[in-house]
Amino acid sequence: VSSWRDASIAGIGRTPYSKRSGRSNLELSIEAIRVALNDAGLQHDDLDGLVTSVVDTSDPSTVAESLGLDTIRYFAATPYGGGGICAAVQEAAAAVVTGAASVVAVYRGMNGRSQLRYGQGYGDVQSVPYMAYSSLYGNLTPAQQLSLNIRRYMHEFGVTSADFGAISVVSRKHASTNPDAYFYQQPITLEDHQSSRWIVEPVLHLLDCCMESDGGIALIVCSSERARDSPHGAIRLAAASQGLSGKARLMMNYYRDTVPRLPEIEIVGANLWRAGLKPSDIDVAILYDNFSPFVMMQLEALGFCGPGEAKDFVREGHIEIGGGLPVNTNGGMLGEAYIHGMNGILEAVRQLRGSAANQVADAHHVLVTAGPGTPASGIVLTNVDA
Amino acid sequence: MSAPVRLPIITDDNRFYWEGTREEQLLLQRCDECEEIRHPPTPSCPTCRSVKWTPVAADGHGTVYSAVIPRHAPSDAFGSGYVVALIDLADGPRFVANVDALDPYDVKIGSPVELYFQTIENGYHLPQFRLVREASS
Repeated sequence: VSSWRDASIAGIGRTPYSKRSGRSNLELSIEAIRVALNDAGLQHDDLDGLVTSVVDTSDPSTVAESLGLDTIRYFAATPYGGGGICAAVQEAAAAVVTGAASVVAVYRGMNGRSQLRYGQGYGDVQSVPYMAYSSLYGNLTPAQQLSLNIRRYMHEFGVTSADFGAISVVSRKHASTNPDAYFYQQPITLEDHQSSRWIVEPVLHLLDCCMESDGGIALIVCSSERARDSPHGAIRLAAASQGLSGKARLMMNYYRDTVPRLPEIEIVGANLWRAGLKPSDIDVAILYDNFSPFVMMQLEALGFCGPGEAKDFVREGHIEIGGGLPVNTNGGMLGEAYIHGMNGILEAVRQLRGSAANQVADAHHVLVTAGPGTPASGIVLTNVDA
Repeated sequence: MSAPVRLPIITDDNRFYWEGTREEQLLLQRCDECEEIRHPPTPSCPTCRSVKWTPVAADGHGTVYSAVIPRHAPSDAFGSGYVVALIDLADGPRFVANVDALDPYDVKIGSPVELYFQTIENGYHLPQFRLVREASS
């Protein structure tokens, strides 16, 4: 019986991260694919699968056209934006282990600062009917929408803005020593966090919010057997899961008892641990940090600590490099770049290859999550050859 | 910035709800099988999966479950210092609305609120809430 471990990431590629790429989303993606193929020691003609996000403006056919790919046997796009990014790797791996495709590029190219800015919300457009129950009240951006859940989390567990600030401080500390990071050499203090302006009072300061970036990223997924012969070896998929819980509404999970929790991430975690791993096996965690409070809530949802305990877990230094569970070692989307979580997957691969800017010694299992606030996904990657 | 169009998109599943606001009614769905009252509109009861339901007008009272003050809104159409809240309706379901208050900091988790209707476009009204004054409660 085949398993996730039979699929691996053999190559990674990216463009520079910037605030104004000056290039199209499509050009960012095809450059990232070219770099990733080279990293994997493969050629364009080896590609027979393409996976992206449904919100990516470059669908598989446009990429295939631009790259002159003549025989694509598998293509897919995962829903729910950043929440589907780990699921895109899962899709690619499923294609590989079933034989639907042999070499799949997972790609995401976005001018997230110079063109479509997700943080600006939906503006005049109420394209989704159910959003009207909320958007007509001026509840328009992800920061605003998700803050209603976070406020309740703060209320029930006695968590403060300064507790969230501790996450931002660690992320910027990690970014400060990562030359790839937008905030390289720019650490912040808790005072900087507390004095940054409110975006949503009393939940999110500016420094709780991820940045906006332009950039493209691609991963090459193929069989582990094939990946072992690639220049950097096989980074295996140890586990993968998506998560969708009852009464889930994109960014508006208001109509259920679990408002102050992350049931989608709980499903992802439970399913990942079912693969035989447990939280203590994880050496590095890349937790989706669209907003700093979600790092804390995910620590609880994934079982790294109990409900309401994450603020103490963070204060005790566990999430820093040198701690028991280094989190977002690249600086995350608060510190490195915001490519819808794809840059976190690159960091996971670098940690497992031993090539990260902030390398964690003896990293063998790295968890990556995607999308609190949306239907979610997560993967565990490993360099253990078995 | 231009004001957003404050007009709902009508679908087969939500028509009753928006039509109800024309008559200044906040209509919820009561399941004909298990009698659970639900919002927002869905064709099937999430509890018992029955597709049979009857619209019922909300009682008009509720309690603030969560509330925030957006300080960096993408549109200035909503003014500054407005409150977006999750309200637990006395009828059962949770509801998103603004809560009117002289001081937005007066809107606290647990505050009692009452329904009123705000006129929007094309004859629709938006169900809104305001703090219940101590004297009148």
